[in-house]
Amino acid sequence: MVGIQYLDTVPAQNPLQHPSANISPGPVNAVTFSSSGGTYVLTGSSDRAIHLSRAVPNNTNSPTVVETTTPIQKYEAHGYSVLRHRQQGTTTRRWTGHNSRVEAVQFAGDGDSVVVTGSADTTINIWDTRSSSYKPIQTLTEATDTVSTLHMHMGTYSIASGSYDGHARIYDVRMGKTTVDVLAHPVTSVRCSSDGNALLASTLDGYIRLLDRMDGKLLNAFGGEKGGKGHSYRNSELRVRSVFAMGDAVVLSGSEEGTAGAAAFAWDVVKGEVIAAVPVGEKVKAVSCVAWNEGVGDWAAGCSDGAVRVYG
Amino acid sequence: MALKRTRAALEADLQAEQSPYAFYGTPLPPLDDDVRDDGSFVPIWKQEVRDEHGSKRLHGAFTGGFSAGYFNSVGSKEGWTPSTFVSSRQNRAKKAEQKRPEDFMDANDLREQEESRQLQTADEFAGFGSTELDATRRAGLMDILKTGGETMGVKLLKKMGWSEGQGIGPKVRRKANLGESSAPGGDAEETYLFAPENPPMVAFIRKTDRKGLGFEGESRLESHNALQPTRDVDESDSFFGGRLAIQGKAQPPKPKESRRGGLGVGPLNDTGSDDEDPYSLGPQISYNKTIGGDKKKKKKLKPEPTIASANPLLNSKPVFISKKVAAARGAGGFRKCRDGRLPLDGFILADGIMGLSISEKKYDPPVIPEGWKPAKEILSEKRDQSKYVSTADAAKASTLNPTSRAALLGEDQLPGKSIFDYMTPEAREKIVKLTGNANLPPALGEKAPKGYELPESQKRKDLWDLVPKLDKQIAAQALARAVSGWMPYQEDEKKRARYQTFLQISAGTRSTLPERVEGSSTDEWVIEMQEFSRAAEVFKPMSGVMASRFTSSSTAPKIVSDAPDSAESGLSRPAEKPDDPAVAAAKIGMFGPMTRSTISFYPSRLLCKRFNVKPPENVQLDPGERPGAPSTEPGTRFQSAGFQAETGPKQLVSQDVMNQLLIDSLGYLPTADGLDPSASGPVNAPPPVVVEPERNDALEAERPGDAVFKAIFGSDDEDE
Repeated sequence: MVGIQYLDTVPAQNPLQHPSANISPGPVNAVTFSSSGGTYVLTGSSDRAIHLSRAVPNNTNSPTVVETTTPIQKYEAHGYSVLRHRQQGTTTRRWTGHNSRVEAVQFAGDGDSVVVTGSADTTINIWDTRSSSYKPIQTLTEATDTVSTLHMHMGTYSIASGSYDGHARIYDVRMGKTTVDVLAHPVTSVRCSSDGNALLASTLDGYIRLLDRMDGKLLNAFGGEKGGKGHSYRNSELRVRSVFAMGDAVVLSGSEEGTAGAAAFAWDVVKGEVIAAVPVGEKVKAVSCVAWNEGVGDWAAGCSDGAVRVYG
Repeated sequence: MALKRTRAALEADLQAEQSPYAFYGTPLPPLDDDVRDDGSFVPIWKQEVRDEHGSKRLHGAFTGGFSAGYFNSVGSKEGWTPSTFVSSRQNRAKKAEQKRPEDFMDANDLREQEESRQLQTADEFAGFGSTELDATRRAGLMDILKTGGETMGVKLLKKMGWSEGQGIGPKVRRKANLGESSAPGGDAEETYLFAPENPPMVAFIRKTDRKGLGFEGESRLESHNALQPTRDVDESDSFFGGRLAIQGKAQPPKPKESRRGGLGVGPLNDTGSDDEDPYSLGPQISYNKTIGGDKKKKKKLKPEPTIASANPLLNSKPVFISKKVAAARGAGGFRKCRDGRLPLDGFILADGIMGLSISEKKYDPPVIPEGWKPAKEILSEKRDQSKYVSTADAAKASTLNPTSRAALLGEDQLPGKSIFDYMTPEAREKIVKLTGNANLPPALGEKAPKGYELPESQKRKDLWDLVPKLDKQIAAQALARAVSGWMPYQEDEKKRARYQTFLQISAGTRSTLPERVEGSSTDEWVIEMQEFSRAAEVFKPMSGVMASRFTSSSTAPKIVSDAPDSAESGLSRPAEKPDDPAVAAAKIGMFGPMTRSTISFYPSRLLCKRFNVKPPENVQLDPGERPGAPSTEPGTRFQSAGFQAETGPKQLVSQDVMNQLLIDSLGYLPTADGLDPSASGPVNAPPPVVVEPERNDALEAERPGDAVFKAIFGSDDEDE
């Protein structure tokens, strides 16, 4: 069992929503906090732009858009992933090798020396950032459908991947083993717990499952409850990401538009109950991605209307 | 006055006067200023011999002399030098120029050559001058215009063995004609091959007078009286002959032209011909004056030269038949053709026909006995010719049709009808269009007569035959695709339903006839079904290898960004396929060993290095050639896609175990402890083979007992 420290802190109900976070015209597909302190939010959206915004609400209400660069990390509908230097805004490396669009990108390895990309051509390519080789270090071809999500867990030296073929695969580099978990439904998000013992996988059947990485047993399943009165978690069509939050005590996930609009959900990991359902607005079709900033305790939700809402 | 002049004075005087003997006119200038021309004595020491170029070239006794060669023509003092020929690989000798005879000629030779050349025509023209071609000159003015030489035809004939004066054709075997003077006896019987006689050409003589055709009286006179005396001259010079004959050769002597008596014909007008009888009186009629032997008797008596052609076919009876007999026989068969041959067998000369008609005895038809009456009466008088009607006209005029005719004749009514009676008007239109014949009988569209109707089952069978055959498998595939959500004719619900029915029928799941649109004809129905068949061929999913190469993303979840565009495509329903046990387990929430499988992963060494981990054992063991290692080549990744993943979960648990598990999970044995991952043996990575270089099992194993050796190599008893 995963030792999870249960915290009773509920995600803030008063969202510090940035009024002008509505910067990208297209839906936001990826959101992440900057590693140092989480003062910046990096968002990738469908308009092929990556926006770096200040996340911490300081004295001014309007966040300063620090830098807006043209496509960086995820460049969809093109068969290559581009890594851009964030400060200079120049492309530092460009790898070409995917025959279809790249769905997921993760840094991996010791000192981010490796970039792992999952693509709609059913492969996972592992690229070396330290050499100028144009070939990937390795190509993983086990998936039979689009590799939609990747998560790198450095503690166990493993790469978790989810594919639309309904399998979650964890490549353990150290052990030389691949564990395949059949989830029977297209996997839209995988996430390893911080201790590496559990795998959080979102599937299109409207559930987020927590699997034991040791033997593949189901530890808990989130979603599927008939909320009735308010928002209920829904995920049947769109790629919705889920993350651990609050030191693996809470599962955060976006959701599709339900009966009462889209919302972001939070579950208690152990109990499996919905702690909170945060509606993001009326006209938002879905909350496609969420990010948790451990250091500050903020979390951000990228929405399909192009807004990133940061809650403290 | 000194009488004696000095020589110098004399010479000076001569030089001045130049030509002392020219008393009138202007003397020609001297040929040579230095030389006196008066024939006076010149001492030898003053004499010089020079050539035409003015150089002193005294060669010796005659014009040549012993040094002639060297000074005149040849290359060296010694005479002719042999020409040298040197050729090497680097320095190729040039091809010697073509030497002409002129190159070896000196001036004299060249001059002689010049003198010998004469300008002349290439061919002699017959009309001028020479008489050597007299034999061929008979055509007057024509000769001037044509060359007297041989024509090409003559040349060709000569090459073929013909010579002048001969006839053309195969050689003829006959006796030698030695002339009349030859002795009739002796070797007259011997025959030889002779060239055929030269037959005379037909001369077309232009008629310039107004006499009747064939009238020869005047010309006879002319030829006998006026022309005859000059005949020799005439023959020698045809230029004035007055007759333009086509042929340039001598006019053939008219062989049998009988001299008819005319005025003034007497012995003085003898033409030298022996055939003539100048003393014959009266008009010479063309009958034989002597019975049994006329003037030609001489010739005839001596046997007629046997015409024996080299061709045996022509070798026909050389029998003498007198003219009379020949006339009596009327055959004229022995008359020769113009080329001197007998007519072909079965043919007679046209001349002979005349005699035939005259002399042939004619037989009257048999006399009909009196009182004979023919048995049949002639009815032709009774028939009225004007009322004759041909059969075709009569048939046209008749208003009867076959049915009424049959009724008239009392025949049974045939059941058969015209095909048009059964045709629909549309079918008739089709035939009209095809044949272009609008005059077809009307289509009645009758039903088949009683007793000939098709049974219902037959009808249905015929309809079934109209249904296009579609491969069962293809139909099933197309149907499966339709189930999975895509199907043609989305815009037409009914048509889609019909398409589906058709597929079901083709796949064998339905046995009724395909539906048809209400009010449509069978043709339209068949056409639609054919269209369905084609559509099924086109829209059937990829099968086999191809299908496994591609993965469908139709069931893939959409990214948020895709949502606004493709919100409603309500057909995305995954195809129902037999569930993998693992998938089935996952669907009922039985996560655990059923859904878990482990396969080997061979991270590359570089990846391990980047991850800062020690490479796993399987990589360490055989880093170069890992069995089934995923290739790092981006281009090959599709090759293994779809194969590796399938091996994992499928072999994980068999169907039986799965069923067992399900039963267990339903209550009896809620725990699935019996199945730990280690039980699913085949999936687990094989234990790595450990090679220990320090140890060799084969050598260091314990020595087996003696019994083993005995069993293998035989018993000890044999050794004794």
